[in-house]
Amino acid sequence: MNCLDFRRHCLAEPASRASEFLEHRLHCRSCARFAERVLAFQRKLAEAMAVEPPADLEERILLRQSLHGRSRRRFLAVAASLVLVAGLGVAVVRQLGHDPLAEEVVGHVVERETEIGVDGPAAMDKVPGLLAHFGVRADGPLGEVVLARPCPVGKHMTAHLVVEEGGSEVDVFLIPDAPVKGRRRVEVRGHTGIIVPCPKGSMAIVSRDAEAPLEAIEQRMMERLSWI
Amino acid sequence: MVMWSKESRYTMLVKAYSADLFRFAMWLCRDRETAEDLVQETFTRAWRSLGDLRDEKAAKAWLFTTLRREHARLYERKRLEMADVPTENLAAPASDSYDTRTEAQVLRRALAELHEDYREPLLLQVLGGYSCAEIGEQLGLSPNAVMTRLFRARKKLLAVLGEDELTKVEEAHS
Repeated sequence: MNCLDFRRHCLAEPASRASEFLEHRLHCRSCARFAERVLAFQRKLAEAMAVEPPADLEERILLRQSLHGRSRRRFLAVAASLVLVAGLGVAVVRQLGHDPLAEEVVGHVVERETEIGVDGPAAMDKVPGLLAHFGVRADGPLGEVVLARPCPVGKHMTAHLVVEEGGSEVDVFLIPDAPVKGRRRVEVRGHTGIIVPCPKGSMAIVSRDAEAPLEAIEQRMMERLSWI
Repeated sequence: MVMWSKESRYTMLVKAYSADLFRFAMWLCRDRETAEDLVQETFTRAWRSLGDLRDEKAAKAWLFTTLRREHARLYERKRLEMADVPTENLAAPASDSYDTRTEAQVLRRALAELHEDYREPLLLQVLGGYSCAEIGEQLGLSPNAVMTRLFRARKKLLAVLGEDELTKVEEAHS
C-alpha cells in the first residue's frame, strides 16, 4: 500500500483493521499523522451525530411490547380455556402448594442479582417516571432506591425497584396485572418474601437476606404509594 | 450456558441498541416523533422474530436493516417533507448534555445537507460501527462502492469545516 492508497483508505475507513493499512501506518510517520487528524475528525463527527434519545425511550418500548403481548395473551387464554376446561380440575389439584408468581419473582431477583446488579443513586431520579407508567404515585420517600426499571417477570410487566435498607438489598415489584386474594409469605430458592394485594394487582417484596426488614418496607410502600 | 427467557433477551436488546437506533432514525427522518415511531416499530418486529435472532451481532445488523426498511416504507407512504425540517430540530429540547458548540452545529448542518447516498453509509459506520463490507451487505453495494461513498462524504464534510487541507494532501498525491 502506498501513501495515496493509505490516505484514500483512511478517509473512507479511519478505524480500519486491515493488516496492510496498519502496517503502512506503523512505518510512515507522515501518514500516521494524517490518520491521527482524520481520527480526530471522526470523533467530532460522532459528537455531532450524538442526538440525545428521549429519556424514557427504553421504558416506552418495553411497555408497548408488554401491553401488546397482554392483549394477545388474553385472546389465547380464552381460546385455550374453551378447549382445556375438562383438564383444569386435574391441573389445579396438581398445582396445590405451588406458587408460580413467587417463583417467577424470585427467578427474576436471582437473575438481577447475578447478571445486572444495581444502578446506584442515579436510580432515584427514575422512580417517579417509572411509577407514573404503571399508574402509581409516590407521596413520600420510598427509601434508598438503587434500581428502578420496568421488568418483564414471567408473563407480567412489573415496576421493579431495589431498595437498600439496613445493609440488605430488597427487591420490590408492582405487578398491576397479577391480583392476589390475600397477603402471604413466600420462601423460594433461599429467598424470603411477602406478596400482598394492592388496589391494582399486587406487590411482591423479596430479599435473599432473611433479616431484611420486609414488613417495614411493606408498610412504607402501602402508606406512600397511591394508585391513580 | 445461561438460557435467557424471551422477555429477558428482548429487554437486553432494547437496552443495548434503542439509543443508537434512535440516533440513526433521527438522521434518516429528522423528526423526533417519527424517529421514535420507527424505533418502536423496529422493536415490535424484533419481538416477533426473536427466535431467529440468536447471535447478538446478527441481531444488531437485523435491527439497523429493519429500521432502514421501515423508514423507506414510511417515506414511500407519506412522502415526508424532510428536507424542510430545520437542522436545529435534531437537538434534544433543553438537553444540557447536547453539544451546541458552533463547530458541532456546522457539522450537523453539513451532515443534514449531505446526499443520502453519502450520509447513510457514514451513519452506519459511525453509529453502527460497521465495516465497509458489512455496510455493503446492508445497502446492496460492493465494499469498494461503499469506500468511495465514505471517502466523498468525509471530503465534503472536511471542506465545510475548512479542514480540506487533509483532502488537498490527497489531491496533491493524485
